[in-house]
Amino acid sequence: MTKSELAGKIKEKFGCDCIVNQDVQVTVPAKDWKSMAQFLKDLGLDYFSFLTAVDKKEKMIVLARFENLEEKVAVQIYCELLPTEKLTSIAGIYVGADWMEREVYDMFGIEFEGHPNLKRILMPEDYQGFPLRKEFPLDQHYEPYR
Amino acid sequence: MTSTMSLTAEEFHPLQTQVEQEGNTLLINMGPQHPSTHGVLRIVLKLKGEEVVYAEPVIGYLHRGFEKLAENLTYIQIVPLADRMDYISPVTNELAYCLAVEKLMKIEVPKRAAYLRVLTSELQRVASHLVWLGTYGLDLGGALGGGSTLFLYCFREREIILDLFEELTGARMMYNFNQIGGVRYQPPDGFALRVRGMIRKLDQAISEYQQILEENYVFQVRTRNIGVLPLELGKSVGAEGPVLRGSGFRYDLRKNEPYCRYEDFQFEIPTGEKGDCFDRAKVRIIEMKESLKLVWQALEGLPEGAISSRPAVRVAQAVKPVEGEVYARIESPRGELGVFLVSDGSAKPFRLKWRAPSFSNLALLPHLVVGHKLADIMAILGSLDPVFGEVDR
Amino acid sequence: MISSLIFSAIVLAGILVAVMYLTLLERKFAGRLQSRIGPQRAGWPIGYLQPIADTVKLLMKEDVVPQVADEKTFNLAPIVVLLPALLVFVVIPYGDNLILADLNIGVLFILAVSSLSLLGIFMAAWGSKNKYSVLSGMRAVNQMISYEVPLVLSCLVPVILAGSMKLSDIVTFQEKVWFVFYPVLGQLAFLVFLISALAESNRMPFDITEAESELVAGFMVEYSGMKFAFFFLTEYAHMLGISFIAAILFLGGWGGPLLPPGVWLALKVLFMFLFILWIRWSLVRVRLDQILAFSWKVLFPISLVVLLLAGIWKVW
Repeated sequence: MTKSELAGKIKEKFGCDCIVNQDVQVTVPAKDWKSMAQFLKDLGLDYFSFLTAVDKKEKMIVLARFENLEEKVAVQIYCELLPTEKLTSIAGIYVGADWMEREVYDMFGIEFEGHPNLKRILMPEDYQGFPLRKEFPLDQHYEPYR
Repeated sequence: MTSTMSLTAEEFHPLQTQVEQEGNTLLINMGPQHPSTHGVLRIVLKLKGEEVVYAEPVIGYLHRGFEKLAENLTYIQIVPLADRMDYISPVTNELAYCLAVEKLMKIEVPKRAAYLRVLTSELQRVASHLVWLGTYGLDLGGALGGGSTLFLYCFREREIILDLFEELTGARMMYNFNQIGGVRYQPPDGFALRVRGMIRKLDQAISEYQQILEENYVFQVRTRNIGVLPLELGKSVGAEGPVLRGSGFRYDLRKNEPYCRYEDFQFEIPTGEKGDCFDRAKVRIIEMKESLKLVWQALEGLPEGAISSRPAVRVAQAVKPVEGEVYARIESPRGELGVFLVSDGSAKPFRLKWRAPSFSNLALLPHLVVGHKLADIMAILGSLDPVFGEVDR
Repeated sequence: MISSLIFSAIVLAGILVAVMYLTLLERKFAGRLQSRIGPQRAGWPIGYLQPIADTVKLLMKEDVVPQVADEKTFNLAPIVVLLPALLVFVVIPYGDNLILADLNIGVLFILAVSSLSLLGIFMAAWGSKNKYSVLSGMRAVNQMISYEVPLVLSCLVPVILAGSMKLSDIVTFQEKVWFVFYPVLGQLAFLVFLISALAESNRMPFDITEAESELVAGFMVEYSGMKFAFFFLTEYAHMLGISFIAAILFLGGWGGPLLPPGVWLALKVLFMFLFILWIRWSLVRVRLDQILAFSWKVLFPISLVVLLLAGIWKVW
């Protein structure tokens, strides 16, 4: 299955346009996030690369990358969220998403519904604040300072 | 028994001293300080007799805020910081980061620099696997016993490689060797001769270790059929590298998606059959030998030319990529090391995500350990080869 | 009466000093195996003052007793562990007619007394009231009980062949041929004895009870200072005891062609001790259930077979 075929299938099922350069990149609305992940896994993209978020001040973008290693096809799915919106968890579909989503929650404050164990992973469990957000200052003390 | 100055053990920390009597399980904590885990890792275990029923790794003890720091430093300043992520194999970290920036800025790296990058990456791979083998011996055999003998032998061989790096870059670890656009240092006179001599010595030593692993009955009994990793679970978690190759999947980023002129070289990709600890160990040992072959080929084919296509680092010149995002990845000794870089056109990155292989490999631990005995946890953890600088960033 | 008191004092002092210097021997030997030199500074250039430095250091350490620990058990355990290991040396012949107490039941005495250390180990584990100690103590009990059986059966082989449990009789019986040279029978019995003895004294590759990588120092984890030194001394006294017993039961004791008997015994003991050290510093640890499976499924049948062979040899 080549990249353009894959892009075609995604457009067919979800109606989203895909950009195809190195990998297939597609922006998905929040409600389709989990079904898109399931669809891609059923298509054979069973290697989970990473899941992360980018803070673009007015919105948060969550992105995940899946691959099919034998056929060298990769898909990056993006989802644009308002800062307080939640997203469904794909930890049941890809096992690696478990820890990656915990890290996104820890660093950005995005909550994932349906995650089995959503608590902080890198920072201490009773920490307040979300370090990788742009409003979190790097060069000053941040209350509560420990 | 209590006084105002002291607490009883039960009051001190509930999680650490609770003995849950549901179904005869014992809650025990393998704490962050440990004589031989590969760094600061805490595992919360529930044991039924000697058998593990539940394991949860707790990480974050070495979190240094790399991704946040990177948003405040210029692109050139991030290279020494990237060094310190996976501190056992620094050159591969720098390589991943530099490849990402070069991909974003569409910079061509000269051939001599590419070959030097291959040379140092493969030497670094051998050094990293030697550390793995030594600490695996410590895990299995203990700091006072046969394990420490293996540990000291491996580190004796590693000293050879570190001496070579010291000649080349001036440092034994944290080389700051790869730069954006090429490499930083020229090899000194006589370097190739010394490397060739060392390759012979290392090859002999590695053959000895291979013999130890395959013929020592006690080692076999401790690692065969322990921690069998099914291929689907490995791919679903994102494990790659020796962990996935041990389960029989012939995939190596150096062959399947070549970067940095790896397509010019000939080498084999070892795989295991079952995916137990012994297969992962075997894969790493054979990888060491293949890396030595690669070092030889890189030396033979090293062309003359410039070592960097950008001016040297000492001349301050800002690196300003265009707006955009890129994902570059390499085959580090632990798996797929990826750098996801988002740039907004300024001199500092907008977002730098470090996709660490040890993070994904470690997520396998709860699944692999259930059903095994307490003593097997160390064998499985050692065969996953986590480095906590990467896991916690 | 006075002479035997003096003799026992000499033996006691000798054993304690020997055990101290055996720690130094172990560290130098291990160092050479690992391509490094062992302790050097204390008593340059060999390091012969190292054990004295260690003893002084351990004497000066604070004696920490955990608050939740059961004090009587905790404090008594080191003594209960050390005494049986030292009692073994009472019945060992150091030369022709040089024994503290030539008991008729020498072998039985040794086997019975050396198992008492197990009680001390479990007292230490239980008294520490620490999850890791208890885990390790249970492992220790399991392992040591399982290896008692092959140990006893293999020790019976020299008894059957010599026809007596008196240690001096066993040595004089081996004047012509040492027991270890008896075809098949001697070697198998010696091997079974060696493996069981290693497991009894918690040495590598069977030292799962003190595994640092999982349970830091096992049942000794809460001990510090001189009490820790007692456990340490016990381990080495036990090893020395095993070397002596192996040398006497299987290697012919103080017998030998040219050299005086004391030198022969010393050489054999040294050889056995170095062999045990060598095994320790070359092998990785075996897991507990594999240790127990090995004892019951492999060593126990072999020791029964060897016993049968010994009986047949004697009657034939």
